[in-house]
Amino acid sequence: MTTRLKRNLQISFTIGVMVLVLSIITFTEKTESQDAAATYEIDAVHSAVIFRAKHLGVSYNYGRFNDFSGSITMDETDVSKSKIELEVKSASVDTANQKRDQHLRSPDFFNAKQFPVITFKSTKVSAKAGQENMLEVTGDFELHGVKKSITIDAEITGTGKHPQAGELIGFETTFGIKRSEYGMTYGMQGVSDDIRITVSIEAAHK
Amino acid sequence: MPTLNQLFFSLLLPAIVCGGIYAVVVYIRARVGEKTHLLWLTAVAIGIGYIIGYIGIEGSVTFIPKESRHWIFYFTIFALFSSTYWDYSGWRQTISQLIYSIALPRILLNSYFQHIWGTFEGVIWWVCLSIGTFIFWNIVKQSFSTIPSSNTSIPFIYFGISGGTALIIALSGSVRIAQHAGILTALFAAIWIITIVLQRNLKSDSDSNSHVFTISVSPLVTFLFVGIWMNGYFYAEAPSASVLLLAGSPFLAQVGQLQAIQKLGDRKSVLVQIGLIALCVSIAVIIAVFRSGFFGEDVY
Repeated sequence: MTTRLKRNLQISFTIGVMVLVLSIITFTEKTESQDAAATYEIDAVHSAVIFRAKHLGVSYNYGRFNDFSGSITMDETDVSKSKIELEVKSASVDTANQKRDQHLRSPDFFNAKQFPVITFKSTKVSAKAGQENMLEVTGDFELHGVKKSITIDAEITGTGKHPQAGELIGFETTFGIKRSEYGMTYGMQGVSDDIRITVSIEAAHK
Repeated sequence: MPTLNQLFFSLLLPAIVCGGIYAVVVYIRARVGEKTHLLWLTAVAIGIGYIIGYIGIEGSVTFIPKESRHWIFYFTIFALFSSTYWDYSGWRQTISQLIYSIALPRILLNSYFQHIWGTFEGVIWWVCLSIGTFIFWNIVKQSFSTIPSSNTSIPFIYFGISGGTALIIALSGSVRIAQHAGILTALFAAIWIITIVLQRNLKSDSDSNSHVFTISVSPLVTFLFVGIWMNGYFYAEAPSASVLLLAGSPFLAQVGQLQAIQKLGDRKSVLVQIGLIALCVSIAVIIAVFRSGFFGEDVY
């Protein structure tokens, strides 16, 4: 009886260990595959969407958007599977002048009531050859109800860990658009057609 | 600031074309008499003038309209079509008026229905605005028939209302929509000037129903004003009090129906009517000036 019990215990132990080992392997693999395509949510508190336009051909005036959200799916093993999505509320435009902001929200510019969001959705992400931490992102940029495919260079500015938020990743990109191409043609003499947009993002692992 | 080129194509050219067509209408009216069916040409004068001004401001015509104000162009086309039969049949008029009054707010405020209003709130707004459009349309029709010497006073009154609209919307923050009201101001100014110049060619009877501004012009005037006001209020945040005062101002022409006013005679009666409407428009503008913070320090 004792020998049989011992044998049973040995078999049970062996099976238990195997199950445990298999579980660890499976779990590790799962974790690795999750890490390969991790999704991050944009932390608007530590991010910024700013733009600049030339006033009367003299000086650059800067503005920002205070309300935006989005997500980044980053696949480190296969960058082409990565995705970037950003949604900016056009009514949150802020140039530190209430009257100007009201005008920018009006149908002369953003027409915020009719086009409440400005969006960017990536369609192709690739690593920039020969440049570390640089991505080439192609995506649909929709502004003022006009959607256009644009390609931008984005820099991975860093990764890190936050005690509460967990894994963090940072991106920054600066790109130019012509507002007239998006149907914003009012006041071309006063406000330049060329607009430079900078998006600096800190995103936390979901 | 608009360039000279823009001013020419959005104000001067529409006024010249509108004035030219209107002069032909006056000529026909004087030669053929009040029974002519060609009085809808007055609507054509305003409509063609507006279309020229529209293209001068917007640069092109978009189909499908991207922004709410782009619909005003298509409303103008519909109004021109409607004006050809507007004088004839009562039931066609009423049904058309109902359909248009319901369709106008729904089309113009599509993005509000999509992004801002819930179903219940949207329905309430839609019903109220449809009723409002229908009432305003009747006010326009009434103003055409209750103002003595309407050939000179009607364009002047609507010149004042469209000028007030342009000012109020510009103060509220959208110069582009204000420019659309600016076109109307130029058109009514042109008609007013042509009327004064050609006054002797018009019959001198004071029966208002026999004048050039017949109710066939009412669809166009209604569509243009409602289109611009709804854009001004809902998209450019023009003060509601100002918009309501502007929309209600032509109703003050009804004081001409009062016996006490009629006793004053045609000329004084018209002056009272115009004075009241001008007062209403002035109050609307003053409200917009104060609401805009025009005298504040936040000017940029």
